[in-house]
Amino acid sequence: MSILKNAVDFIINCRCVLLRYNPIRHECGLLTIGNPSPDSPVFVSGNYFHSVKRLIAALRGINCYLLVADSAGINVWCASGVCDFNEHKIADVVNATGLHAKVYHRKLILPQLSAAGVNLKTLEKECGFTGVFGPADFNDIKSYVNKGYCADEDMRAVRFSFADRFYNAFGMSAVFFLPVMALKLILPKKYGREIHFLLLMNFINIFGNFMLYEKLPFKYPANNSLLIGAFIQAAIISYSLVKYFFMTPLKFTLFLFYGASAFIINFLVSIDMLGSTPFYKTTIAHWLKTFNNKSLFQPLILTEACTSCLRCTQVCPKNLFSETNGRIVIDYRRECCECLACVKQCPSRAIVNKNGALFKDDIKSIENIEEIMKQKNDA
Amino acid sequence: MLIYGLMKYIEKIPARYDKMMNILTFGGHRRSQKLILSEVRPGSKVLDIGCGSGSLAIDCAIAGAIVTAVDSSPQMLSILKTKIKDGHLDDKIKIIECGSASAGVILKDEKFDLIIMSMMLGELSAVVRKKTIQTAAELLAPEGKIVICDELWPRNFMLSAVYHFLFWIFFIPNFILTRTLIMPVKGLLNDLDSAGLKIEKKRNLFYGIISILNIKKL
Repeated sequence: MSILKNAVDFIINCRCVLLRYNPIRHECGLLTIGNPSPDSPVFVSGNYFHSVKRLIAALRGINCYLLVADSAGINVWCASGVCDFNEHKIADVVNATGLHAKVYHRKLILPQLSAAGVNLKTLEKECGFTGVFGPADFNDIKSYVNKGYCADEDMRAVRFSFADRFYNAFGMSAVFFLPVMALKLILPKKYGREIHFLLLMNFINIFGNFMLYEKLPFKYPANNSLLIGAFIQAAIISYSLVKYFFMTPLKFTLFLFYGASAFIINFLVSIDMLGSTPFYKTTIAHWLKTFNNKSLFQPLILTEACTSCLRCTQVCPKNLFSETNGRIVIDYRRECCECLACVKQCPSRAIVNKNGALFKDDIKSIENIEEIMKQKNDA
Repeated sequence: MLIYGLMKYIEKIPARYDKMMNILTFGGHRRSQKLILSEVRPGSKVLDIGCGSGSLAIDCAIAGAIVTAVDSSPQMLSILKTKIKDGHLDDKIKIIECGSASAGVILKDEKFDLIIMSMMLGELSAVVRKKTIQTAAELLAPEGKIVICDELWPRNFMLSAVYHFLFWIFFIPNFILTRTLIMPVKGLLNDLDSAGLKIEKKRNLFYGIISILNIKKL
């Protein structure tokens, strides 16, 4: 039976890796890792199938509980921004699994990136457990435990490692390859060259973008993607010129096909790069208007309201906030990514927007967000 | 690919949820709501668990019931809040934002004559579903009634295989239209048994695409 289960898990894992956008859900509930005792820590996770499986592998060696709560099969960062992963979903699983009887303590370690959507006060009211935020990346959980359940600056920062980029590139390319392969099945054999060209374009665009991520000249990945597109167009034009002068000229329709299809694929990848990188997410409209991904929200602390509880320093994935002499200071040289975790978590609503009513408005998990944003003018 | 555009589109779905559900169930969603409504008596205390955008809760309040509406999605509840304001039903509907399995913690001292769970059990995972049904049993007045309206997973082996097949085909349109994956409810009878509840009456709409169950305490 367990062989069959492993085989099914393997197939679902493959589907997750190949089709990145499929919100495949893991069954919610309480999993035991190793031999947990009533003192063992409880880690909380969303229920995207592949993340849960990878998390279980990362937790091996720690005796603990893993509480899988419903995030609609989406990663916790996105899910918490659009109310798909919140305190109610966590409280439901806590209450349903009878966690109270299994552990003595009343502490849940939440993924740091869920901070944009989880209200800790309500969580405690609904299930009696207090939440603390762990590291941003689950690969850091072991060092988090070794350091006495304390996430340092490195662990709080969102990174985009080579392995993560490869994982993303692989998942995205499979999605882009599928329609082309479908075309290959439909079209007659003589279009083989065109099909191969489309596959090559997908490969260059996607892997070029992700693998060369930090090496490319622009700061924002979607712009880099356009740069790669420009290189491809230049290559196509030079190839047709060489053909024209030195060999049999290229058919005009074929030239047009190469140019147009390369442009369309490049543009689609550029748009996808807006949401596929953990640093500079933005909306399509904003990017088309300004060609940058800059965060419109700039945090500003209302000093008279701030109680220096340090919550903002614990949840910011870009480490903008730090404490000096009992006061919170913001380092504006580090670029905010507008996840609004600080606004959501601030218990005294002391964080407002330097730019007033100007923000991207793609985070839906904060009540009265317009009022909070506008507060600066009133202050 | 185009998924980003789709994501943007479905972000706005909560406002269209009822319409989309109606299309998905060939009009069955609306018809089932009317049938549920026929169980509501004026002045009775009604609990709508998983009320969503609350069209049913509003109808119950108009029919004269005192309604408590529970849902875990603030987006859905904000639509309900506007509906309540527009219909001047502030004193008839109480909104509680919490998960369905945690409703017992918030409402522990209250009892209800009618508890409605319409098209929500399919969205829950097995453990949460079991706890939700237990919670409903605890909150039910001794002579009260639970009405569950949902699609049930068939117990017949052949039909179950057909369902598996159809589910994989409709997986994508289902997600695009409603943003949630609505799975037919599996193992409901066991959950009802363990909560001390029994089915009193079962009505099928459209060959069982939607079933309406009247449930009482044993």
